[in-house]
Order: sequence, then C-alpha cells, then structure tokens
Amino acid sequence: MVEHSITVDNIEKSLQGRDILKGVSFSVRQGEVFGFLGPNGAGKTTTIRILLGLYSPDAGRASIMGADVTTDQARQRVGFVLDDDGLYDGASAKENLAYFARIYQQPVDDERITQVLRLVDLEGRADSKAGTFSRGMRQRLALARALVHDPDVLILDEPTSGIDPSAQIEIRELMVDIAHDRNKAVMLSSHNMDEVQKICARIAVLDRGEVVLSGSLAELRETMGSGMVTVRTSEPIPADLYEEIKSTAEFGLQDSSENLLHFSPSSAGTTPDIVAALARRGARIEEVTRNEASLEEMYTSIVREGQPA
Amino acid sequence: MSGLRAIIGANLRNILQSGALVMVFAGIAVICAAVVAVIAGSFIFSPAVEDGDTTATELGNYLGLISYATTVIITGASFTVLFTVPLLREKTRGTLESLLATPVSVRQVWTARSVALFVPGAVIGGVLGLGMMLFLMTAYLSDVDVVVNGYLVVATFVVVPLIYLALSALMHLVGLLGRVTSGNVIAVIFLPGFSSVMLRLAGRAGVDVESWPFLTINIACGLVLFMLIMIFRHKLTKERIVLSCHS
Ligand SMILES: Nc1ncnc2c1ncn2[C@@H]1O[C@H](COP(=O)(O)OP(=O)(O)O)[C@@H](O)[C@H]1O
Ligand SMILES: [Mg+2]
Repeated sequence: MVEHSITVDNIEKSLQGRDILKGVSFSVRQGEVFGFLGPNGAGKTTTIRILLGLYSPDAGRASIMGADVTTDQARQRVGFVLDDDGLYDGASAKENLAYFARIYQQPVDDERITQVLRLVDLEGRADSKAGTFSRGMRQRLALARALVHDPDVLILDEPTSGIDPSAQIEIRELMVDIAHDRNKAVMLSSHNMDEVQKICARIAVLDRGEVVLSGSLAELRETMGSGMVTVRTSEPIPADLYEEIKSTAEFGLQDSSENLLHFSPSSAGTTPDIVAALARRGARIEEVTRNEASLEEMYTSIVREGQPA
Repeated sequence: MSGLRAIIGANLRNILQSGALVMVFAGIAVICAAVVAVIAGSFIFSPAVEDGDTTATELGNYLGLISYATTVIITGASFTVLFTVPLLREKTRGTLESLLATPVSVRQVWTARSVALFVPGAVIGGVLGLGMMLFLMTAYLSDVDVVVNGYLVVATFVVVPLIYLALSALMHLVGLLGRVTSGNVIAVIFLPGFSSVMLRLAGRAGVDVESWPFLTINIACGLVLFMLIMIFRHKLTKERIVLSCHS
C-alpha cells in the first residue's frame, strides 16, 4: 500500500458564508515536490491553513503522515513557511531557529542549528538580526526554520513570490534537494505554472475552490492533447493521400503547405499512427516535430475560462 | 511544558525588547512613586506624627492604602502601555500565525502572553508598593509605633496581582479574538474605575480595611474577572485568532 505523506480528501470550507473550498482532494508522496497551483483567490492559502490545523474543515478529512491534521502529531511532523514568513525581526537568525526548536521540543543544540543554516547558505549570518535580511534571505531563513525539527513534510505557501529571480532559483533548488536527497514530501503553492513546471513532477490546479486538474505533468500533457505535430516530407504528397489523411478526424490535420503537414492530434498517442499512415502510402518522411503544448498555455486557458466574461 | 516555557520566554523577551518602552515606563513609575511618597510623607505622616493623636493602627492603615494604591495604579498603567504594541505586531507580521501552526495549543499561547504581560507590571508595581511602605516607615515613622495591617498587605501583594493576572488573561482573550485595541480598552476602563472605587470604599464609604470586608471586595472583583474568562474562553480557537489577524 502506498502511504501518502499528505492526503486531502474532499475538504470543504466556507468563511463568512462564502464557500471557499468545494471538495478539494489530492495527495502528496514522500520524496516529491508537489505543485499546488492556482490563481490568486483560488483557495491555496485556505487549504494550507487547514493542513496546518489553523482552520478546521467543514467537511472532509486531511492527514499528514497518517495523522489527522487536527492533531499535534501531524503538526510535529510538518515544517512550513506561510505567506507571511513569521520571523522575529528583532531576533537573530540563530535565535529564530532556537525558538522553534524549543517549541518542537527539540534539544537546542548549536550543531543542528548551524547545520540547517548551512543548508540554506546563511551560516555566515547566524548572528545577524532577521530584520536586516533581504526578502530572499528571509525566505531561506524561514525554510531553515521549517526544517529545524527534521519534519517529514514541508508545506510552503508561495515561497518564491516577491523575491528576485536569482533568489527564486536558489529557493527552487533547495526545495528539490530537500525532497530528493532527504526524501521529504514538499508541497508548494504557486500561481506561476512556469515555476511549477520546472521543479514539480505532480501538480494539482485549484480554481475557485475546486481542483480542476491533477496528476503528473507527463500524464497531463498526454490527456490534454499534445499540441502541434508537423510532418515534413521530401515532396508534396499526392492529393488522394491528402484527402485520406484529412478525412481521419483523430489525426486533426490543420493545414498544409508544399511539403509540410500540420496536425493537431486528439492525443499524443496518435502521432505514430499519422506517421505510419503516411509511410504506408509511400510518402517519404524527412522529419516529424512535435511542439508540446506548454502547460503554461493549458493553465492560462483554465484560469481564463474561470473568469467571468 | 518546555514549549510553554519557550513561548513565555519569547513573549517576555518580545515585551522587554520594546526595552526602551519598559525602561521609560519603569523610570516614570519610580519618579511618580517617589513624588507621591514625599508628598504623603510631608503632608500626611509628618503632621500626624507631630500631632500624636493618630493611633498606630490608623497610621498602618494609611500606609497600607498608599502602598495598595501604588501597586494598583502602576501595574494597571503598565498594562495600558505594554499590551498593545507587541500583540499588534505579532498579529500583523504573521509571527502569531506561524506560532499557531506548530504543535502548541491556543491555551498555551494565551497563557504565555498573559503571563508575559503580567510579569513586568506586577514586578514594578509590587516593588514600588513595597518600596513606598518601607520608605515611609524609615523616613517618617521610625520614631512611632505603626501596626501594619495584614489584610491590606494580603490585598496588595496577593489579591491585586491575581486580579491583574486575570485582567491580563481577559485582555488577551479579547485582543486575540478581536481587535487588539478592544483588549486595551479593558485596561483603560478598568484602571481608573477599579482604583477610584476601591479607594473611595476604603476612604469615605468606610469599608473596614482592618479586617475582612475590604479584602473580600477585592477577592470578589477578581472572581468576577475569573468568571468572565471562564464564560468566554471556549471561544478561543486557532481559526478565530487567524481570522482576526487578517481582518
Ligand atoms: N476571512 C475570510 N472571509 C471571507 N473570505 C475569505 C477570507 N479569507 C479568504 N477569503 C476568500 O477566500 C478565497 C481564497 O483565498 P486564499 O485561500 O487566500 O486564496 P489563494 O491563497 O489561493 O490566493 C479568496 O476569494 C478570498 O477572498
Ligand atoms: Mg495565498
């Protein structure tokens, strides 16, 4: 049996009479970076608050490492960075970490603290006050704080928002390292498909309180159609072959010019069939190119569809 | 338990980190207490000692009431000064929300904050109340008999601190669930209300300060605060606190 690190099962939540989450389900596995994607106001932060026991769900269940999210047991095994980093400006990097270590009932040993500071590359700033840090450094310190009790699961609410691109890259690399090298489950929320595509293998897309899409990125590309396929032949194909190809709906022939054929097949699995059909009738194929539909486009269309006209 | 201690420690540090604030407050409190002590010494105790017709018990009662008033006013004033800024900061900067996402309970956070507000004020108030008494006794009453009233001493150094601990808890209950300023309003109303009522009772209304009545009224006041806390404490949930942080 695959034990998921985070399981969210049909969570509903309304706040002040508004339905914010309408039956959200997804799961996150150990050792993966999971992208929790959605436009602003989709309900990402609300879901994360439920996972951290800050809100109680109206219906549904959620668990972390098998423990219900309403229990301290679950909270002991999860590290987090919320959208406000929640660092004490007046305290040093080290003091911020020591405080959380104490709260998690960890022995406050310097070695452990130095170790997590080294991981986020802030070793040299251990005694500087958090208030003097740049936003990127603060995010890294918050990440270190989230790791201080060696949790199995990390939940990060838009960890790269509002920081400069090079700092974003550092944070992304850290998240991947933490998931892969330390075999932790990392769930990050984001409104940026591009970012999620860079580091996540699996995602869930949330839109107005509903998961509208979830699964592995590879699978999603498959089911969403594979974008354009272009076939180049050494000479223009005969008219009868052209008609035959055109009449096969699943090939999705869009247009052609000279020796180029542009297809928009109904699924990625269709491409070999197109090639086979052409080859069988003697067409000399020089090149087949596939422009994968970028998930960015897919996401943008989902988000745009969601918007009132 | 070590979690609770960590939060109390952090909250205390947080309040003391408004270091300037605490020092300024303590400084002003000392100056005010000193002025009151000199005035009371010169205009009440010196004449009374010279006249010679004030009894040792009466002198003790005056002494006790002055020290009582000092403790009540200074501790109360510390609440109005030290409550709002640190709590508001924690609610708006997300430090409180992050804390609540750890395995601490709302009760622990509430307790820790209440204790952390209470301690500096109670220490400064208690020390100055006691200091006032000792100063007046050595400076003005060293040559006469004074019977210090045990009931007043208990009221000042046991019951008043308990009242303020309850008040701090009530202020935090309100401040955590709703607006921080609403919590502060409690202190702002309580301090002048409580001190003027008590002193009027002990003075003109003549409630007996030498035996149990005055002490009992103080205890009753503490119980009222305690009951209010008991009635409303079940409202305290992480969800309500987080929602109030973002509204
Ligand atoms: N306290 C609240 N009362 C009512 N609505 C709220 C409250 N907090 C958030 N919302 C609404 O819930 C929706 C989801 O918010 P949120 O979870 O913060 O979204 P995200 O993090 O995806 O941007 C938004 O439309 C927001 O306006
Ligand atoms: Mg959000």
